[in-house]
Formats: sequence, structure tokens, C-alpha cells
Amino acid sequence: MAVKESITDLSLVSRCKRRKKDDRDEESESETLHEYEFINKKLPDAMLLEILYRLPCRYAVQYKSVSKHWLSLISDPYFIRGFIHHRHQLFGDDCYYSSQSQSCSFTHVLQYPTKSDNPYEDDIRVLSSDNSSLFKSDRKGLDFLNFLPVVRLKYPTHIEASFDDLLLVCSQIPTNRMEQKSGFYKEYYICNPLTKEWLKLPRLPTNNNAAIVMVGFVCLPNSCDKEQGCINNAHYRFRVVRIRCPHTESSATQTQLQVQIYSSETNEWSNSVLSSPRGLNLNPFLSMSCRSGVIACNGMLHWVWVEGEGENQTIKGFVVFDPFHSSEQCHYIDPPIDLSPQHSVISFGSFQKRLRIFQKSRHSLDEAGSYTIWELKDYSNSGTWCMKHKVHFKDIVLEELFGDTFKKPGRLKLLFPFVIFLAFHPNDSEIVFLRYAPPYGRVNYILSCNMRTRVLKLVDNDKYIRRIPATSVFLLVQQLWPTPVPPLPLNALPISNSKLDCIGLRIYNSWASSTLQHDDLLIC
Amino acid sequence: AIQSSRFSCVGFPLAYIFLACKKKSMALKLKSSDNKIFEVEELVAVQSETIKSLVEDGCANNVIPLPNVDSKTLELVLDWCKNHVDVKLDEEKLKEYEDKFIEVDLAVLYDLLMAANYLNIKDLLNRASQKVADMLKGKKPEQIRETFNIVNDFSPEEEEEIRKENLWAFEE
Repeated sequence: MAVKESITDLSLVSRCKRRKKDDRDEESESETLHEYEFINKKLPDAMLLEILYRLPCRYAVQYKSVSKHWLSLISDPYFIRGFIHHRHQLFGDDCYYSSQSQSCSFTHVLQYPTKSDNPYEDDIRVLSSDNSSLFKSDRKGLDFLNFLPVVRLKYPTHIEASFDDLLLVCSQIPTNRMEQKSGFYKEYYICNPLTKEWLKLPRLPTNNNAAIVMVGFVCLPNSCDKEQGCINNAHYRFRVVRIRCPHTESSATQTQLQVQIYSSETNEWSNSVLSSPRGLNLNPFLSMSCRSGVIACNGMLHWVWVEGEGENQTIKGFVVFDPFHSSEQCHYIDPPIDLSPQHSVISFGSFQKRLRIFQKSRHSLDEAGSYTIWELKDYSNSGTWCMKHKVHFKDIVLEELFGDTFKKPGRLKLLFPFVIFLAFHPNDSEIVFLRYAPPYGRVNYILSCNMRTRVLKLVDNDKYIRRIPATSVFLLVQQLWPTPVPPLPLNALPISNSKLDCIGLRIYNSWASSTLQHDDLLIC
Repeated sequence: AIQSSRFSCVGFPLAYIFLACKKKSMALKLKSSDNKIFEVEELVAVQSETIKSLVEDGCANNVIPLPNVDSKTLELVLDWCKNHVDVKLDEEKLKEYEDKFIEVDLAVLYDLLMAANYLNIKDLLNRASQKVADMLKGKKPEQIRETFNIVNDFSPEEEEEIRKENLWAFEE
């Protein structure tokens, strides 16, 4: 019996062994299709990918020039997907904001009102979070966008909006370049200032170029793993929404708004009329909301809903418009508390995927002077807000760097009345960027305030800085992989079909570059 | 004997296999490609998903041949496994161990990568891939070709084209 047992054992093992071995043989056969020399040995593609996924993305892109095989691997849309997904698994929810990854760097683009003596040049200042910035600070104005032919040709161009690492740029093209006083039409461009990829949107259907508009730009990246909720910015849809200023100046209340919406799927502009569900005011052109502009986050556009005029203006809430799901319907969000501009200075922004309010008390000289950050937690039931931070000015301490100006006792409180909101830090929930600009004197500081430690730091000191309307601060946040422009086609095939895919990509690329060249020709 | 050898893995009573495993006091014998036998505790060896599935299938009662792993590499891999089975080892010490373990040249790393892949040991594969990535990071494409012994099959024009298309990545 014992003998029999051991024989049985033996046969079992060998059978299993055989089975496993066969499996393996099949696997290794498929793996040998693409192999590489690794110190004179072969490294399967799957493992080479494991290594490449762990590189900072700029090195992975550089290594496209190693060999044709590396080029085909790294150019594959599947590669970007794998690369992003790998980081997600490594860093979890914080994948985008991990301090280890390079993707956390960001840039503020400050756009100043056009100088009257030189109407063809906007004043632009670019502030980067790290020194290894690709937007060199010695460049002037829109130079960092000079890969756009319209910028090289010095047509009046300005930035309309930003989303993640993309910018929406608008340019005024003269209808007749020979004549000095000819009319113009507007052209919109989506571009990635890092990779210098760009896309021109089609001409607007109606000739209402002179109309005053507010522009919103919102992208909806594809999610690569629905359970983890992580997104893949290689594939995305986007909308550009132009809201026309109502004609009737007398009535500030508007229950209907004319909009033009560009959809990336149809590659067309379409006209639409936004209407409010409760007959409430939609008008974003009242002074208060105009300054705040259109805020894009969560795949939706937000602007302030104001009632009353002048001194009696009060913020009733937000208009929320989701251009991906409806081209006509808006809804409303209530404010967290009664936000009366008489008692506080209100600014808006977004932090990651959440809408935020920056509320500064007007009477900032007294003991109770403070600022408060509200965050929108939930859109349902007219919105649920939560108070994230409340910072009393008397608790704030200055960092050493700050210089002597405000070191003397009692001087610090003189600073706060002239501090205005600039932007929320894109990665750190606790940091807010502020600007100190007294109406007199030449000092202009850009500050950052940590709301937990209450330390106020100097970020930038620039003589140049003039009054900045809030709509003119654009935040560019570098992504794990730079967002491609135009978006990669969605029907990317898995790596096993990489050859097919590469051909597809090449066709797509050549299509893209041919249209770009075509554009070049048209413009130049 | 002939008849019994026709018993399939699945057909064999599971309880019997469990018993057989227990009798062997949880020790497994692994045979490297150069025919060296390594005797290891099951707990250590089953960190390899490949070996684990063999054990689960009841196919690990005899010597497990690992024809893709040489003895030098297997010794290293088993050392890694031994150090990762000991839950008492605190995180700091484990990190220290891993850092020291992975300080090897590319040739050894290559063997480790291949072995980790074949044996399906996730954390070792991760660590070895990360190490290779760290060694590559910052190298120029020419240096990558040298390291990997890859022949540049681009014409100078083609190479320049790729550079131009991805200028942002090449700029310092």
C-alpha cells in the first residue's frame, strides 16, 4: 500500500508538473514574440513595461527614441493607460497629489488687464511651484504660448480658462489683414503649454464676435477603473461654453441665457438657451459674479447667483450647469450662510473636485477679523456645505522671509484689509494663495497662508503686479501624464494588439498633424 | 500501478492530499535549474504564487523543479521570502533589509526580475522593477541603449523627428 501511495504521489506530481509546464510553455511562447536584450539576455515586454511605468513620465517619453520597439510600446495608448493606472495602484487616492511624484507641480498664470498703450499684449505672469519649471520666468507675456501661430503673429490673444494642465485661449483674427480697421472674428484654441500640443476649435457659427461673453471650459476625463474612481486623462471629452451677456441692461434679472456650446464629440458649436427651473436669476454678468467668473469642476460649470443691485447685492447661491448632460437646464445651490457682501468679501474657487468659498470679513482690523473656507460636500438638496477652516487674523504668524515691514507690533493687522483671495493650492487642502495689494504704495506680494499652522509666507514679490480680477488667475496642474491634445481615441486596443494599435495611432497622429498644418496654412 | 498513475489531480480525494501535506511537516523541496535541492518551509515558499498554487493543487508533495531559476538566484529569492514571512520584523528593519537586498548589479537584478516573474512574487517584482527604473532614471537614450545592449534602429532623421515631437521631455 505504501508503495502504491508513493507511486500515486509521483504520478500526481509529474502530471501536475506536466500541466504547469505546458501552460508555461505556451506563455513563454507568446512572450518571446517581443523580446529585448537586457545585458545580452531577453526581457519580456510585460516586464519592460513594469519598469517603464515606474519612470517619471518625461523619461518614459524620452525613451521613445531608444529603438523602434520601445517607440511602439511607449506610443501605444495602452501605455499611458497602464502608466496612470500603475500610479493609482501605488499611491491610491492621493495618486495625483503624492509628493513623490513629479505630477504635483503646478503653475499659476496671472493675466492682467490689457495695457492701454499696447492693446496687442496682455500682461502675463507665470508663477511655478517648482524651479524646474518649463515655463521659464524670463519669458514675457504670452511667449510661453508661442507655439500657437496666432501668438507668433501677435494677434490679440488672451487666456480664457484653464482645466488641469490645459488652457483655453482666445484670439482675435482680423477679417481683412490688409485693412487696419477691419473687423475680427474670434478663434478658440485648446492647448497643453507643456507638450505644446494644440487644437483649434471650429469657427463660431454666428457672427456675434463683438458680444460680451463669459467663457467656461470643462473636461470630463475617462475613468480607467470605476471602482477605484481613478481617471485617465488620455481620454476625455470637453465642452466650451460661451455665455452671452443679455442685451437688456435695465433688468438685471435674467431667467434665460443665450449660450453657445462646443462639444468635443461632435466637433461643433451649437446655440442653446439656458433656462432656470424656478424662474430665478441666471445672469452671471452682475458685477459680483462677473468678477468670480465661471468655475469648472466636477464636469460642471458654476457661477454666482446674485440678487439685488449695488450696495444691496446679496449672493443667493450658485448656478450649476452640466453641459455634458443637458444643454438647457441649470440648477441651483444654496449658499452655506447668508453671504452678504456688506459684511464680507467673497471669492470662489475649486479645490480638487470641490467647489470652495473664501469669505473674508470686511472688518478685518478688529479682533474678530477672520477668513473662512467653505466647501461644497454634496450637490443634492440644494447643496450641503461644510466649513473647512476659519482663521483669525490675530492668530496669523509671519514667516522669517517676509522682511521687516510688518514685524513691528500692531503693524500686522494693517496688512489684512488689503489681502484678497488668489487661488486654492491644488494639492494641499490647507493652503490658500493670497495677494496683498494696498491701494497706495508700490508693494505687491503674493502670499500663501497655511490654515492649520497659520503661517503666512511670501511666494512672490513683484513690482509689476497690478489689480487682478479673479477671473484672470489660471491654475495649471501637471498631471501624471500630460493631457494629450486632442484626446486619444477611446477605442484603444489592449496591448496584445499593440501592432494594430500603433498603426491606428499613427494614422490618427498623421491626421492630427495634417489638420494642424492645414490650420497653419490658413492662418499664415 | 499503471492504473493508479491515471488518477488525475482533481479526481484524487482532497482530504487525502491534506493529510499527505501535513505528514511532510510543511517543508517543501525546490530544485533549481542546476539541480540543487533547497528545502524550505511551506510558509516561506508559498509567497510565490506559483508554488502556492502547486501546493493548493496538491502537487507539491515531492521535489518541485524550477527549471527557470538557477541556484544562485533561488538562494537570493528564498532569502527574500524568509525575511518577508517573519511578521515580527518591523517595517523599518524590513525596509533596511530590502534596500540592502536590492543593491545588486543589473545582471543580478535581471535574474531576480525573471525569477520573481516566474515564481510570481509580487513585492519582489515590484521592488526589482523599481530598482531598475531608478537606475535608468536620468539616463540619456544613448545610455539606455548601452545599458540594455539595444541596437539603434532609427535613422538620424527619424530620431530627430521623435525628439522634435516630444521636445518638452528632452529639455532640461
